[in-house]
Amino acid sequence: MGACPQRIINFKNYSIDMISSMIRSVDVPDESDEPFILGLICENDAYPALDLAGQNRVQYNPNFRFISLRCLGGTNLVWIADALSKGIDGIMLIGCKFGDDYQCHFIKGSQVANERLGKVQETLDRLMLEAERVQQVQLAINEWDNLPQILDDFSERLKELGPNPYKGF
Amino acid sequence: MSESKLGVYICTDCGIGESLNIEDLQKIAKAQICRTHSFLCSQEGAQIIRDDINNEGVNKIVVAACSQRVNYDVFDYDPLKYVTERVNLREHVVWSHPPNTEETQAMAEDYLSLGITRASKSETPEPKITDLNKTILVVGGGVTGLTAAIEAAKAGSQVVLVEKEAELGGWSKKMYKILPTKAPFAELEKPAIDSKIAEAEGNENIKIYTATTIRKISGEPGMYDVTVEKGGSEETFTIGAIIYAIGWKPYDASKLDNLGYGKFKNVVTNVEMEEIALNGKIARPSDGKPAQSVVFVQCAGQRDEAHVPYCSSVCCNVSLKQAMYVRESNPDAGAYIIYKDMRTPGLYENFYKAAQDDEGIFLAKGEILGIEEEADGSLLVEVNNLLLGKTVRIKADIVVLATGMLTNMIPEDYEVNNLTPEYIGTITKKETTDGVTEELEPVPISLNLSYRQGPEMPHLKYGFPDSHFICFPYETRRTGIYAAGAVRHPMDALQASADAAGAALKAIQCLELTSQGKAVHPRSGDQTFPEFRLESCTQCRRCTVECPFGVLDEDEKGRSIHTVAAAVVPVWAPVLRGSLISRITVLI
Repeated sequence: MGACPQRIINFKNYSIDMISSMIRSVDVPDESDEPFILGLICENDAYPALDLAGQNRVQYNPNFRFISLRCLGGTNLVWIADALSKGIDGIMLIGCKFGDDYQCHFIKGSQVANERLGKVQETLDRLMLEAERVQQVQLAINEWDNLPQILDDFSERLKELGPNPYKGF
Repeated sequence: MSESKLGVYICTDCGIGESLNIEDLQKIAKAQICRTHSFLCSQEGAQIIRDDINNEGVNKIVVAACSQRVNYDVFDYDPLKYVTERVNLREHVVWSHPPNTEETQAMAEDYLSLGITRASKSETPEPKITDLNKTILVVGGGVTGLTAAIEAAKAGSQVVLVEKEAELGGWSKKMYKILPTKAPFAELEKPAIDSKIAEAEGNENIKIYTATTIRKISGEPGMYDVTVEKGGSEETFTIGAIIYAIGWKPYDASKLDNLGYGKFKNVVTNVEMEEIALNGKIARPSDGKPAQSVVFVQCAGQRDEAHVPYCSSVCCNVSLKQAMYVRESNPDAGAYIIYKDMRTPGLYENFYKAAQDDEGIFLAKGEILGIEEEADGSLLVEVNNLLLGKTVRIKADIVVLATGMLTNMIPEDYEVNNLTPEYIGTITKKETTDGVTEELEPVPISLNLSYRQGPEMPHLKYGFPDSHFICFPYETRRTGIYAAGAVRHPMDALQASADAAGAALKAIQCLELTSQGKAVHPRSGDQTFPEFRLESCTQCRRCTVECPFGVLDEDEKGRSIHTVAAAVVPVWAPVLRGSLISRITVLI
């Protein structure tokens, strides 16, 4: 789903159009002191980590909106464009670890997403947006206690970069 | 799906009602049916949803309550008829954010709105129920392959077993005695491989081919076409799933330059020691003199970056076993085991103790400083004995090197510590219009799969077929093919037998699920299937190259097809190759 630049691969209950529509239905505040951030989370490690944070009543930044994916490997770059054109200030991909001691349930999904993000830099440059607005984080289910820090750090960085110039269009 | 009707159900329990303005939340649902309940996962709560399904024709259900990872048995509506969407207001909103603030309310409203959008854009799956071939192919006729075949046959499957040697039994046939297989796991036993071979040969559900190799395997789970070759003639048959049990081979000891192997006649490997034991007496190779003193060198060329970087986990137990042979053969003899660490993983603690209790078996942690040969052929082993804190010299009739186990996936001439990543092969330089590029050319080894990504199983390290070690250790990266035994990591026969039973189970499970149109893993039971809008395909092949499961291939026109609809989710079940190709021709 994520690999195809023509977006031809989809499932009956999970499609590129579905996630694009969800992103477009988010209510993005026109003006705010706090950056407004889209989080794409995988259902295998990141979603449970968020659950565990909730179960432990750990409080975190309320300016994130998480959309759960089957795997970060299915991330289609059109979603980045959708989010940025809605005025969302930054996008964070949270998924399983990849590499030698990988945990990604789809073996290489998060790795493939990471490589694909490298291609998005060019598009961002053309839109006069900073590449840092899109980040990927590897999170294991047992690292839920790091979440508040990870989210706040990204939010701080986005504050330094300033709000998305396309906000309110 | 027929006309869709959406219903929204908000639970106000678990803090949700106290932390949010439920009335404002309900406004998000706009024109849809929207109900609240103070205990939605109760019988009464679940009933209001069922009533709407039966009386109002609701077929898309949005449950705004707890996480999708809980209560999935309560909110369980036939996935083939209804779309169910779980909006997490509990763990992701009210439990992790302060109650009754503007931000928390905005989060909840956004999530509900996202959930409604998601459900609106969802359709129910149309599962592909297919007739498959349910025969299981077992590649390899050692203890692992034989056990897998017997277990699968006992469970009701038809099995075909292919072994490349003329005889069944593998390494187990070359053992004098075996490690204990039953409680209290303290005594050596006679090998039981012959009765296993007899059981497999006598089972009418198992068809055995010996002295046979595999020329080619093409197809997908449920319909693999296998071509085998025996003595020059070929045969092709269809099977459903494959158990890959081709076993191990010993590391070539002649690569170890400081331990005297190949130079001194009486320095042997643990494999050769077993042959000596089978001859009847433990006698040294140079002149047949009965061994009075035998030194075992553990970790010979192992846990060593220059040779075998890992521990083979079995050799310590094997040396204890062979030390007992020495003592049994000559009650006056002494066996000296020099180790880095003594590792007896599994249930062998009592076995280790029995060896320690033997007054003729000596165990010492040490390093081998050197081995010299005397005029009469006996060896002088100089050891830095770390337990005593000084150097000792042991006079030995035989020195046994405990060399390691490599997977048979590593072909001749390839180095275990220097394999190409993912697919075993060679890196070749190609001249292209963009300059010189390096390409990996995978080599065929034993399966000869017609998969675009490569003819063999992907490996992660050291040639062992990659399984998802943490989450799915019994799967591999090729659905329908299950690795078992020492091919996937060093293990002894007892563990290999358990592994074999596990692989047989996985193979049968794969076929059952696939025939029902369900995914095997990671999303077990999922009945959705990827759909390709081929009219817009530009043949860039990105999907084909990136798929971690090698599921996609190309047709003659270069467009992607999931002929190898193998796998796991997202792609899992067979799409008939013939019908899809004809569809492509129509579209042109």
